[in-house]
Amino acid sequence: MNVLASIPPPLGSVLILVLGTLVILLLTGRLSNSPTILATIGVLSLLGAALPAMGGDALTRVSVLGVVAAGLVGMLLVPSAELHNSTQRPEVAALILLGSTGAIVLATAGELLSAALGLETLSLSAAVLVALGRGARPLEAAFRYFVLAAISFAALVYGLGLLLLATGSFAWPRPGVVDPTYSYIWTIGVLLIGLGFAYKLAVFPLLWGPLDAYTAGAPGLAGFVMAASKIAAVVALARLAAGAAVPMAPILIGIGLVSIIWGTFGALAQREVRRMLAYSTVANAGLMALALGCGPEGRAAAIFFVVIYVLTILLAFAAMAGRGTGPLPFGEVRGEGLSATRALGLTLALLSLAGIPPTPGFWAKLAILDASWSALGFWPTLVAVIGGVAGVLYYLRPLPDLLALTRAHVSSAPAPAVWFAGAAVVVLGLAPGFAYAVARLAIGG
Amino acid sequence: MAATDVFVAIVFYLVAATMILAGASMVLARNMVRSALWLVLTLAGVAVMYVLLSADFLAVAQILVYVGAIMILMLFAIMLTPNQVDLPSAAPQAQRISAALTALAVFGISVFVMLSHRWNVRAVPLDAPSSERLGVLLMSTYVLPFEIASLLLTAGMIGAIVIAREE
Repeated sequence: MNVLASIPPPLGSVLILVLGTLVILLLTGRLSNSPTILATIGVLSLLGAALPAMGGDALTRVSVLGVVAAGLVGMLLVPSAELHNSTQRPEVAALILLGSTGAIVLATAGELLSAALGLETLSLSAAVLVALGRGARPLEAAFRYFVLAAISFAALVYGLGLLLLATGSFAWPRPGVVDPTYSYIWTIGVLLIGLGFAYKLAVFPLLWGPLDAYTAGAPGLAGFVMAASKIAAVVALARLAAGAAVPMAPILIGIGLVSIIWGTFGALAQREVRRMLAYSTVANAGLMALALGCGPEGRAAAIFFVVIYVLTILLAFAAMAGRGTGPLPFGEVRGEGLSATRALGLTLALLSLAGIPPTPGFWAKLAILDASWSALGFWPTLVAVIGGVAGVLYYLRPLPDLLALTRAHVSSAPAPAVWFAGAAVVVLGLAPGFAYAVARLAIGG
Repeated sequence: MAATDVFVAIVFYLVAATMILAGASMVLARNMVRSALWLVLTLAGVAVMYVLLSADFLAVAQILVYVGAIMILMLFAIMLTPNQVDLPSAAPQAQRISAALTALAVFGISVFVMLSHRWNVRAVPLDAPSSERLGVLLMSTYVLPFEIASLLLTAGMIGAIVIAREE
């Protein structure tokens, strides 16, 4: 009993997820024909993984619950996931649990070596999940994602080596602990580690692999990849920026602003929903990077933003799941035959992503703008505001068709993932203050 | 200078020169099989460097894992991929420039670190097997990263099986 009590909360979550993975892998033969039982085991593992985190600090709770939410939506969509080979659902479920494990390790690791291994576990699981989608594009997209992830991981490992040389340990950087003689080596090391983490956030210029993965994979799995990667990357970057604000803050602000501009123009140019969502994620990643460079208030805003963004994007991808891996052109949304539930879910997600009040997306963007205004002043905040306003233009384009679908009576299978993500978005919209308070606690504010 | 030091210095410079030549030849070769074989030579040179640094376990691991397993795998992959043995005559200009800039940045950082760091040099070379100490570290200080690495390998194994498996 004492041994169990001595296990740190994040490690407890990891052990439960590994146990769930092992059970699924051992029963692969039986579970390939029983998708409901498979999803139940996966969901129970994820819910079980959330329990130990309740005993941890606020950062652990936010990280684990965010990743678990992403895993739950992904797991609920496993039975209907558009796979190249439908008998591979147990492997997909196992990879979702392993990917969740990697994301939790990346966000909560006590030292950087474990965080790097968590990042690579997440990357590898994500690449395979994308590759298993139906059609020819997923494999190509997954390969590109994998190669670019390997390159950014190489930069991270090089940075780890430099940090070890400068400080003699793999501990997270802290201000004032480095010998001034080695400050340049330490700075280069920190920046390279930040580069490795930033790949998971998909900011400019580290976006080509993630963009392909988000648009080519099965929607439910692509949603999981996007959500788990983003929450883990934001928490990891927040921890890095907290200990190494001097080299990280200006870089984060710079790439944040470029990403907002690049992602906004990219999203405006798109003619279909999935690509628009993928490009807009770059603009949103830019907002998060901008906030991460704005001191403690900014880091709290970034964590608040990522929690809301992750749940919203999960809702959008859950609503689009089950209709194939192909594009969803703006003009053909009505003809897709989405059920009223899915159309309503996608509508709510798009309204929140556009930042329309009183959806939680509004509060998330407001928190980022407030932090940016306080820390950086007029011009950077203006760029963020313009990015937000342009977001209304592209996010709301499919809305008339979606609203028409909500009134149509198209029958479809139950969509528990849409209900779960939709409920989470509504709850956050009703209690944004609570979520923001938790985010502040998570960064120690 | 002792005779051993002279021998070590000669071996170091000889192997270092060979590694540089083999690395450059790997990048410049137009045939991927030749590139792979030049890489074998470079990686074998790294193993010799580990021996010179008294890192016996790493040297053996380098030979077994990189020179052995990974290079064999790479050669198999090249030979089993149709019409991909010869590289295109010229990569796009932008790709060449970005590759050169990246290589230059890594080289610059490495040289800077090499020159600016106060390296601890042992008076006498370490004359004891390093595998035991490595094993103790992996089972104590670094046990958590060691175990997480097993999850990484599991994800890789599942990926390899499901992608390669016939329907």
